[in-house]
Amino acid sequence: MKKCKSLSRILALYLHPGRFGYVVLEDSTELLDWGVRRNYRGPKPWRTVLIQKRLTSLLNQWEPSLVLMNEATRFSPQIRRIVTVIRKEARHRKLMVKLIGRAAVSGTFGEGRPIRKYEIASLLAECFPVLRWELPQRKIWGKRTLPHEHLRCSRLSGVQPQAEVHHSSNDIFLSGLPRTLEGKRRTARTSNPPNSA
Amino acid sequence: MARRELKNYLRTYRKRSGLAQGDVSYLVKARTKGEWSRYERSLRQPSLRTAFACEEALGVPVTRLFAGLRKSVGDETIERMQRLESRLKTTGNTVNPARRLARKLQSLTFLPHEKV
Repeated sequence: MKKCKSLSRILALYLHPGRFGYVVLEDSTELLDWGVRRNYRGPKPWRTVLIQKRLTSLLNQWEPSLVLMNEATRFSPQIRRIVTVIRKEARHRKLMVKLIGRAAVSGTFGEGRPIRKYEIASLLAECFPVLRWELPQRKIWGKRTLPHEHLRCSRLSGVQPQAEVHHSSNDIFLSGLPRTLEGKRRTARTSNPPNSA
Repeated sequence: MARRELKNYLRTYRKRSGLAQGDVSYLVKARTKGEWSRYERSLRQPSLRTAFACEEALGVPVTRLFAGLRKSVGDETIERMQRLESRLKTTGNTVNPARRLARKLQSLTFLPHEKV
């Protein structure tokens, strides 16, 4: 990233209909603040007011000279409303507003190849070690154990099962359990749960 | 455009340390976390005692935590010193004895505004 000396503080926003993520950078290198502000409370017209309130508090505190936003190919009407609010507030404060498209992001982080959000997050966590502990644990799709499934199975059989739930397309099936138990589990799901006493 | 320091960097260093507002307000002996929030947003200025407590709790010197405030106070003081110096040079002969005036002017000259 080209370092621009004239821009001291940057407020970068990631817009979403229900909330927005923000990051405040000083001199493009020092991370000052980050977080998520939610605006899902109240009816829709009130949400715009709420966004403005949240944004104003951020602008007041950090006094940025540039506001960056993510650019989507098709903005939802809610996001479009939020963008209008941000542009209005920025014009009022004589701030620059810039939109950054997906191509620019993948160009910077993925060097041209398509890159996932998690990979971007990992790269950023490397750049800013403060964010490392905020990096969510990677979800491993297809294989996971559900604690409540263990509980239900042990109640039925009286043994400690090694149940591993596999998700394949739309069907859920158990492995490591006898067929009979699997059938019991299915019937228990449909009917009322049996009395533990 | 020169970089303008923020009044304080309490929020930045608190977040870096991973502490919540409630935790830090307890550490610095603020009454509520609302009070700490007002310090972060520069709506209130903490007492000297609280400022030192912030230094200990966050592990960052007070001059860095309150960088903007430190700079503005410093600039203002230097301006006042220059004004006092010029005032002493013009009216000092009548009010102050010569030796005391010389000493005052010397102390003002050795202070950092000369280097600025």
